[in-house]
Amino acid sequence: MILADHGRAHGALRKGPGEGFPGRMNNIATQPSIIKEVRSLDYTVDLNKEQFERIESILAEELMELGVQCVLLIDLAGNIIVNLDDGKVEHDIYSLAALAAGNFGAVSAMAKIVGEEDFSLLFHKGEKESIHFTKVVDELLLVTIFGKEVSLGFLRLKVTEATNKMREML
Amino acid sequence: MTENGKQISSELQDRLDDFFAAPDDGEAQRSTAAGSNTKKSTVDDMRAGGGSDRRNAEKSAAEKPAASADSPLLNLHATILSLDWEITDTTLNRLIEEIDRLKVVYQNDKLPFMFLQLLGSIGKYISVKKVKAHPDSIKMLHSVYAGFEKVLRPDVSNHEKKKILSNEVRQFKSLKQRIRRTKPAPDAAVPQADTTSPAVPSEPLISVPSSAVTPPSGQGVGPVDMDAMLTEIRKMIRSEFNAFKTELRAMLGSE
Amino acid sequence: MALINPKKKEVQVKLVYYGPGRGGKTTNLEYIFNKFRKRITGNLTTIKTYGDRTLFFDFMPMDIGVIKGYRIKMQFYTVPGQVKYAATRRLVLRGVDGIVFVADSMVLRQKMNILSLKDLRDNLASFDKNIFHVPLVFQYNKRDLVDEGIPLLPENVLEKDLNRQLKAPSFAASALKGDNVVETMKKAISLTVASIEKRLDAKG
Repeated sequence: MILADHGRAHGALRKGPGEGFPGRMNNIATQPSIIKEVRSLDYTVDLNKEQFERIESILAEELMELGVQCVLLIDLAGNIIVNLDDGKVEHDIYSLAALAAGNFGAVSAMAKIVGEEDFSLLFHKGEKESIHFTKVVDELLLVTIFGKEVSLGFLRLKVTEATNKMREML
Repeated sequence: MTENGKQISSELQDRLDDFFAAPDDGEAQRSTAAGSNTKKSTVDDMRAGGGSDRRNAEKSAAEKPAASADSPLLNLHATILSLDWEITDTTLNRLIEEIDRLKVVYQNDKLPFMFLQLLGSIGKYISVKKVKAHPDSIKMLHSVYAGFEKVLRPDVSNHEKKKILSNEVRQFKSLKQRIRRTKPAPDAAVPQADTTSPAVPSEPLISVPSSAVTPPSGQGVGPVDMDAMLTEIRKMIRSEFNAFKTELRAMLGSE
Repeated sequence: MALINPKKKEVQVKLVYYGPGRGGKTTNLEYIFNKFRKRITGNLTTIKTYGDRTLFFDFMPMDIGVIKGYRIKMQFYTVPGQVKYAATRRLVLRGVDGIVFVADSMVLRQKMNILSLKDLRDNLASFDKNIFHVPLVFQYNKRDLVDEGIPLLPENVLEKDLNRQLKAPSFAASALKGDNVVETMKKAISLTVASIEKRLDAKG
C-alpha cells in the first residue's frame, strides 16, 4: 500500500461540509479566538485560567441557579472543559462526555443528510432526568442534565442566555 | 529530543511501568460478560429502553387530565404544553389571547374566571420577564392550569373546587413573595417600562383587570403600572378569601 | 487535540484503537480493563450490536497520574470496524492525539487491513491531519491463532503491507491472551504524550 503520495491523496480528498458529515471549520478568520490553529489546521480549545473561571461563573449563574443537576461544557472530541454539578450526583462524566460528543456528532451528520445545517433542539427526555444539548460555538457543546422540576422551555431560555454570554467572552 | 523532552519521557516511562507493573490478582480470566463495571449497551437494551420510554410516556399521559378534542380548553392546553418546549413571544401571546377568549366564555362563572385571571397574571409576568422570570412561575402556570381543568369537571364538588382555588391562590402569593425576595429594593413609585432594568417595583406581575368579576376588554402584552396591578391583585385575593370564609361558615353552620 | 486545563492542571489525551472489523480493538481494551480494574477508576463503556460487534464506539478513561505537574487523563476509544460504519469512525477520530492500529494477522484479512489503513489516512486527512504526523503504533494481533493451525501473515508481510513508509513501532500480539497488549498501550501513550509535551511546557 502506497502512502508516500500523501500530498496528492490529501489534495484529492473532498473537504468541508456537504459530505453528510459534521462540517469542519473552513473559515479560520471567523472562529472565536480561543479556537487556535495548531500545526496543520488541527483545531483545539485553548483557554486561560481567567476564561475557565468566567465560564464557570456564567454557567453557575444561569444554569446551576435554576436547579439543574449537572452542566458540562465539552468539545466535540469528547473532552470536558468545564463541569459543574449540584453535589448530589455522581455520574460518570467522562463517559457521558464521550457519548454526548459522539451523539451530537452523529445527530449533526444525520441533519446534513436530510439537508439541515443542524437541528435546533437535541433533547432526551427521561422519567426523572433529562439531557439537553446545545452548540456554543463550532467546537463546543453545552450539555445540561436536569430533573422534572425544571421546565425545558425555561431551560432553553437560560441556555441561550449562557451561550450568548460565553460567545461574547470567547 | 530536548533535555526537557527526555525528562518527560523518562518520567512517563516510569509512571507507565508502575501503572502496568502487576495486574490485579484473579482478574485476568474474567470475561467481559461477567465484568461488573463494564457498561454494555446492546441493540436489545436500546429497544427495551425505547419500549419502557413508551410505556412511561403512556403512563404519564394517562395521569395527566388531557383536554379532549371537543374541550374548550384544547387550545389553552396545547399552548401551555408548547411553552413546556419553547418559550417564545408567539406562544406567550397565544397564551394571553386564549386566556382572554376563555374569560369571555366563563365571564359568568366565578371560579373558572378566577383561574383564568391567575393564568393571565402569570402569563404576562413570564412574557415581560422572559429569561429573568422566576423559574417557579412556569411550574405555577402548569399547576394553575391543572387546577383549572379540575374545577371544570362535573364530578368535583363546589367545596373541592374552592379548596383547589384557595390552594392555587396561596401558592401564587408565595411565589410573589419569592419573587420579591429575589429582587433588589424596589423603586415603588416608578412604573416599569423597561423590563430589563434591575430596579423592579414592588410587583412585577401584570395586567390584572380592575374588577375581579368584570371581564376585561382585550388586553395585549405591554408595560403597565406595577403598583396598581399589585393593589388590584391584593384586593381580588382578599375579597375571594372573604367570600370563601363566608361560604365555609355557612356550610359548617348548616351541617 | 489534547485539552489542557491550566486551572485544574489536567490534560485529556485521546487515543483511538483503529483497524478492520473483528480485528481485536475492543478485546484490547477489555483485556486492559479486566487486568487493571483496580487502577482504572472509570468504566469501560461499550456500545455493541446483537452479535457483539462494536456499533458506535467503546470508551475507557484512565488516569495515569501526574507528569510535569499535569494530571494525564487518557481517553481510549475504539472505532467500529465494519465497513458500513464509516461515518461513525470519522466522528470518533475527531480530536485524536494518538492511534493504535490493530491489524488482523489472518491471511484472509490481508486486504481488509490495507483498506482500513487507507480509511484511517483519509479520515485523518479530512480533519487536515497527516497520518505521518500522528503518533501511531501498529499491533499485529491474533498471533495465537497459529496454535490452531489458522494461516497467518508473517510479520514481515504485515510490515510491508502497512508499515513500509510510516515506520511506526509495531508489536506482534494476542489481545485475547494479553500478549503485548500492555506493551502496545504503553508505547502508544508514550508517543502521544511526548507529542504534546511542547504544549504542556508552553502552559507552564
